[in-house]
Amino acid sequence: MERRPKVLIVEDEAITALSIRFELERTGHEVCAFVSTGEEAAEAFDRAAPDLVLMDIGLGGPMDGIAAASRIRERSDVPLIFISGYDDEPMRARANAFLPLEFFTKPLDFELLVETIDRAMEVRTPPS
Amino acid sequence: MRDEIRNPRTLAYAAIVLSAAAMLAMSNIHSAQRRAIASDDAVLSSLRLARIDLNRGFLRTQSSGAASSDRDEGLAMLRQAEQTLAEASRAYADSGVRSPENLSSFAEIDGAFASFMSRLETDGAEGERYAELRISFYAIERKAELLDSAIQEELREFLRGLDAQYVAALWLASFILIGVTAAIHASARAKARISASLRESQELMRSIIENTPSFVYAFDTEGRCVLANRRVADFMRVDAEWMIGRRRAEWMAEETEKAHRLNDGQVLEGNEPITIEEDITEGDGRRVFLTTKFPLLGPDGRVWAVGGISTDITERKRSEQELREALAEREVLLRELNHRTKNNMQVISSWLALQSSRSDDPAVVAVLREADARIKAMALVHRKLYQGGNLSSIDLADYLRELLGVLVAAYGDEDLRVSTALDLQELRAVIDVAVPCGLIVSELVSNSLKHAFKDGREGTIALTLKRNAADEIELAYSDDGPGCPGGLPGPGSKGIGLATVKAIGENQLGGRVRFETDRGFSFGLAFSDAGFRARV
Repeated sequence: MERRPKVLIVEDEAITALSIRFELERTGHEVCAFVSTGEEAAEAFDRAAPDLVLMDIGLGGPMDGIAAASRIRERSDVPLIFISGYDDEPMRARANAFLPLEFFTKPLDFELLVETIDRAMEVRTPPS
Repeated sequence: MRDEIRNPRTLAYAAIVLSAAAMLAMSNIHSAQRRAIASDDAVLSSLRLARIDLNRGFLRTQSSGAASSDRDEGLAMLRQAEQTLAEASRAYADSGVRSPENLSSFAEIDGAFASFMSRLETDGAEGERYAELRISFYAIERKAELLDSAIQEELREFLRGLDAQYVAALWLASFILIGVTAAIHASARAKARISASLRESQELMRSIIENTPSFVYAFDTEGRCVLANRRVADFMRVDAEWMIGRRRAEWMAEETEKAHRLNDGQVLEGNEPITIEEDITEGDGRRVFLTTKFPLLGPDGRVWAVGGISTDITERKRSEQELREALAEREVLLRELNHRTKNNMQVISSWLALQSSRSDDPAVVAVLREADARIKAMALVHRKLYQGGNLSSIDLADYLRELLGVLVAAYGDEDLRVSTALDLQELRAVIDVAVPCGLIVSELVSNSLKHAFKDGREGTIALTLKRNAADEIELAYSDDGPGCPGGLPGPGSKGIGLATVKAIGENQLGGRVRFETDRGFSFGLAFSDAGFRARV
């Protein structure tokens, strides 16, 4: 049986996180965890070992999504997708330092998001 | 030397000296001529004396029975007369009046006298010979008188000419003196005028320098102060006169002095003005000056000092800084507002997605998808604002191009075969214009995909945008679907899309709206955005 790709969602806006979760699960993905702070993200990453991390940049708490991504990058080169309501060059430059798979701005285009995740998973786990 | 000659005073002095020399020379000539005339007078006197002696000597020798002593005395008188005549003749020859005619007359008299005396002494004869001598004597005397008269007349004539020359020379000298005096006077008046003008100019300059609110100063190439106005002295809390000849280090902090000296060096090196900002930290704190420094050239064209004018712009700089901070704060707030707006839109969009995922009714799902598309149309404006670096306006063509792509992708399904034809003129629009335009295009695209190109029908959506000659924005949309055979839906119909488009176009944007459904569907909108621009 084919293993469903596991996605970690880091998003402080509950409704948004929930809609992403439903959309991913509807399209055959497993949301292994969804957390709302940067600190929780690193913890959840160690615990759930996701195949991909969906990271919001503007998080509540002292650590934003980019800082949380740096923590995860210290541990792994797991594919990373940033989502953000901010969209300016300095922000993108900061985020690009951690080699994300993509940078999506809100409101999200779910179809495009799912398509991007699926493509990344195919590249990462080629059929045996 | 040439410069000295050009000097009016030198010329005046030279003219005076020349005039005086000319007068002196003329005076000397006149004196010499007078002396010559006096000499001629002496000649005539001698001649007269000789004539008297001649007469007396002749009469003494002529008298019959005269004693031998009388005769000797007469001869002595005649010799005396001869000698006197000879001396007069020589004196005449040496005098300034030397008429050849008169000289020959003298020679003739001298010869006759010599002959007469020779014959008288040799022969000692008397009687007839005396008579001959007497006749000869009278002839000689007459000649002497004529000569005397001629000489007198000649001398008088000469003196008249000489006096005329002398008078003319005096007049000339007087004119020269008067002219020179007038020239000196005019020169003195001109000099006085120039001096007064110079004083006025200096006073004006001093008044400007002392009353300007700017700092005015100059330092020579050795760094010594050669000029400092009262503002400089007051600011430095020293006396302006005290500053002259001193270096900045005596009243400035080391670092400040060094910076200012380096700026002076830049002027000296480049030999051209510079405009810079300079700091001075003295007394009540740091002050900022807008300074223009420039080289001061001497008569030889070399830089001898650096002049400077500094205006205190501390308050202006402070205001600018406050303004910059306020603008930065406004920018941050606007960005944050945009971010929050997009986040909120995301929340709404997420709600709609959640609702949609819970519904099995295709109509509900379609309605929710349309609502989501509208939200995305508005959110795209905020993204464009965010990305463009200008938080008040966006490139409307760029926005509509991307929006059309997003909408076709959002509404379309796998068998959708719709192409787009875009003719979009680049123009900027404020958010209050861009959002309604986006909503209109969103409704129109939704309408076309739902009605014109359903069931896999192939077709084209065309969109044009331009600014017309009346400075209005013109938006035209069309599809080449079947149009609306039964006409546009009325106010009471279930569809609200086109009613919304009409309301946005006419009521919100204040434009003219046109729908056509004969061949396919087309929509036109023209409106002025001037009022919207003015509100920003």
